Amino acid sequence: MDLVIPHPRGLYCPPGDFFIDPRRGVQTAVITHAHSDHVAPGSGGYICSSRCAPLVRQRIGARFNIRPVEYGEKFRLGGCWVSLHPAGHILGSAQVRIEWRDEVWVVSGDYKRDPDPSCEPFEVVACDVFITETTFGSPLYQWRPGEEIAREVLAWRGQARECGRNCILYCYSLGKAQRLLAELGRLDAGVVYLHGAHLAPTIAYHEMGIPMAKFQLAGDASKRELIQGELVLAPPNARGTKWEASLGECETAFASGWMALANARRNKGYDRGFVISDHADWNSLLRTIRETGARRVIAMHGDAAALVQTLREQGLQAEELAEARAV
Amino acid sequence: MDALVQLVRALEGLGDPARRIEALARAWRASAPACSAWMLSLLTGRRPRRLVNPEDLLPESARAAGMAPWLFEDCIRRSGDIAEVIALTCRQEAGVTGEIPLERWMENEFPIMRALPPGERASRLMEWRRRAPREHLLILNQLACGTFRLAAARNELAAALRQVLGVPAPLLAWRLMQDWTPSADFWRALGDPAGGDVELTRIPETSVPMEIRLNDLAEENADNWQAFWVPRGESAQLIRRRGGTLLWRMEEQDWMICPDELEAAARNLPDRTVLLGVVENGEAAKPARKNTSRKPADETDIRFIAMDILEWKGEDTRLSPFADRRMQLDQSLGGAGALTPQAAIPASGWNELTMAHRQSRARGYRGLDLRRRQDGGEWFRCLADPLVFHCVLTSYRQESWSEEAELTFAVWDGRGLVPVAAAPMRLEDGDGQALAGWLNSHFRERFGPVRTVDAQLVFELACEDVRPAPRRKAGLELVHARVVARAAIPASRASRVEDLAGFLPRRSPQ
Ligand SMILES: [Zn+2]
Ligand SMILES: [Zn+2]
Repeated sequence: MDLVIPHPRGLYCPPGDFFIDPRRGVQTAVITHAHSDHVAPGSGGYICSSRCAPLVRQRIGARFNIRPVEYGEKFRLGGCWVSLHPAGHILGSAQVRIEWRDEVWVVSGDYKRDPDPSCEPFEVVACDVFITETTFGSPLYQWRPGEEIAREVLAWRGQARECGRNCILYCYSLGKAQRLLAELGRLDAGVVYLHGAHLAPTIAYHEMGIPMAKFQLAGDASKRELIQGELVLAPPNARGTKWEASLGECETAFASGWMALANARRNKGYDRGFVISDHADWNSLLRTIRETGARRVIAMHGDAAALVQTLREQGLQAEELAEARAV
Repeated sequence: MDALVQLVRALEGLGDPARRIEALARAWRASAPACSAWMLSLLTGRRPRRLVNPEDLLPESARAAGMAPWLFEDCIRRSGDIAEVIALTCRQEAGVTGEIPLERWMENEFPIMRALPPGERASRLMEWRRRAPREHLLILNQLACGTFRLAAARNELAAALRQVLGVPAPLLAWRLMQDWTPSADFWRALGDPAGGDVELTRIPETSVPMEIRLNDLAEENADNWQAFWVPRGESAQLIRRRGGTLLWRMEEQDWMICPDELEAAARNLPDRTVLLGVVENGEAAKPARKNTSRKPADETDIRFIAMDILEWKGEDTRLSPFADRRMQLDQSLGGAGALTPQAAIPASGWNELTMAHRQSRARGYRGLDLRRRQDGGEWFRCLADPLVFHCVLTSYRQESWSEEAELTFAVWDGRGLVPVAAAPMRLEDGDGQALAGWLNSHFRERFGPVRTVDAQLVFELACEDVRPAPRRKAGLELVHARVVARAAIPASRASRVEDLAGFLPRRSPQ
C-alpha cells in the first residue's frame, strides 16, 4: 500500500490520516517548511519542526494550533510513526519520515545539499520510497558555493559604490534573504539594507540565533536617511515601485537558480542575475536519491521527466507524482 | 578574456545606454591593448567565421558531461544554445588554467584549429573544456560555433571609446572607417592624439540656429536680414582637404561616403574648405562603414545644400560678415546639381516673409532661416507649424529613478499598430499623475524597464516632420514628436500610416 498519495488538498497519508503541506484546511497538517506554497491557514492542527514554528506563525497567524517537534523525535499519527529531519532548504525545513509496519517512506519537501550558514544541514534518511522535489530537474542547474556568489555580490556593490549608486538585490523574503545575509556576514560585508517585507523573517532568524550581516531597514518613510552605494535586499514584487524609486539611481539584480540560463537573465528585467538557489541542483538530486537507498522514487514539484527517465536508466523504479483527481 | 566575460554578462541585462557605455568603458579599461582591439572587433560585428559545426560537438559534449545523448539534447532544448549547455554541464578537472587572453584565442588557438581537418576541430575545442575556466567556455564555444552575439549600438561604442581613449569623435570614427585588423598596434594608433589624420578630420565648431517665431523679429528692420528656405535632411559638414571630399553627419557623429557626383561638384572648391549644410536624400548612403554592403551612394540623388562657410582656404571665416560668405557660396557653387547653396527667399518685408513661412511645408521645406547680413550673421530659424497626428499609446519606458517616462506611440498599419514616435512625459504631476494611474492599471507585460499597455488611449502628437525610417516596421517616424493633449476618440480612429506617409519628402523639393 502507498503510504503517501496525491489528494486535491495535498499529499495524504492514509494509514496515518494526515496531510503533508496541504493547500487548504485539513484535520492534521504536517508542515515541511514555512514557504507560502507549503503552508495554508485553516487546519485543525499543525505539526512542524521547532524552528519552523515561529515562521509558520508569521505566515498564518497565532490563532492556529501549532505543535513543534524536534528533529528525529518520533510521534504517532494514526497507525504510523512519523518524524521530521533537516532538509537544508531554509531554517526549520524538514523531510517527513513515515514508518508503517515494515515500510519507510520519506517526503523530502524542498531541500538542498549545499552548505548554508542560515539553516540546519540536510540529513540523509534511509527509506524504501523517496518522494523528492524536482524544481531544478535538469543538468543545466549545477550550483556554485554560496560563498562565491556572496563574493560576486560584494564585487557588484563595490563597483556600484564607485558610481554612488545603490544595488538592489531582489530575492525571496523567507530563506533566500537570510541565507544571503548569513553568507555576507561571514565576509564582513558591513551593513546590508532590507526592504520592509524582509524584516520580519530576518528578525525571526536573528532571534533563533542565526549569525548574519548587520541589517537595517531601507526606505523607511518616517525617517528616511538617504543611503548611497549600499546593498539592499528586496522582494521581487518591489521591482519598479515607488519604494525602489525612493532609493535613487540604482542597479538591480535577481538572486535565483533560474538565473543560470542567459535567456532567463535577459528576460527577467534585471540588470544582472546571481545564481543561488535553496533547492537541490541536478547532482544533489541524484546523489540524495542514491544515498537514501530508496528502491522507488516519486518526483514532484517541478519538471520531473528528465529525472525520472535518468533514474529508470539506473534501474530504479521512478515515476512522477500522479495528479490528484478532483473531489 | 575575463573582461569580455564580464562585459557579456553586463550587457545582457542592461537597457539604459549610459549604463551600457559605462560597462563598455570599464571592460576596455580593464584590458590590455591587443585584447581591447579584439573586443572592439567583436563589438563592431566582425564575428570570426564558424570553425565548428555545433552538431559536431554534440556526441563528445554529452560524453564529457556524463550524460546520455537524449538528456544532453533535453538540455539544449531548454537552453537553446549548445555553447551554454557545454559551459554549464561539462565536468572539469581540478586545476584549470587561469586567464587566457582573448587575443591568444583569436590569434593562435582558433587559427590552429582552423588549420585542422574539420573532423578534428571539435575534439580540439573540447580539449579546452577541461582547462579553460567555466565562465570562458560559453564565449569560446560561441566564438568557435559562430553564434557569438554581442551587440552594442554604434553611438554607445563611440561614446565608450571616446571616454577610454580621449580622442575626438570624428577622428575616432575616421580611424574605424579605415581598413584595420585587431592588434595592440591598432589599438594604440586608435588612441593616438597625434597622427596625419588629426588635421584631416578636424571638425570646426558650429553655431546652431535659435528657434524663434517670426513675430519676435517684427521690431527689426527687415532689410538687415536675409531669409532662406530650410531644407529637409540632416545637418552635415562638407570638408575639402588634401584634394578629397569628406561628409560629416553632425547628428549621427559619423562619416558618410561622398557620392561621385557630389565629389565632382565639390572639386571646384578650394582645398582646406569646410561648408555647413544639409544632406538631402542621404538615407541611401548610410552608413559609411566599408564592410557593410549597401548600394553605392552615387546611385541616389544625394544633394548637399550649403548654408554657410566655416573655413575657406584654411581660414576661419565664422566671424566675417555673413553677406560676404554667402556671396562666396553663390560664386563658387552652381545653382543646381549635387552641391547648391541654400535657396534664398526673395521676399522683402515681414509680411511677405510671413506669407513664405506659411507656404514652407507645402513647398517641401521645414521653415525658414533668417541670417543677419552683417557681422558673423546671427542665425534664427522659424519652423513651419507642426503636423498633428492621432497616435495610440502602446508602451512606456521608465527607469525607476527617473521622473520622466518615455511613451511609445503607434498608428494603424492595416489592422495592426506600428510604432512611429517616442515622446517624453513627466508622470509626477498634474495630467501625468492621472496617466500614471491609468498605466498602472492597464499594463500588460514588462520587458525590463519597458511595459506594454492596453492600446486604448489616443493622444494628439505634434511633430516637426515625417521622415523615412527604414529600421522601423512603419518605415517612417515622426521628427521631434511631443504630446499635445489626450484625444477623446477611440483607438480605432487614430491616424493611419498612410496619413503620415503623405508628408514624407518627395525626391526633390519645389
Ligand atoms: Zn520552499
Ligand atoms: Zn516549494
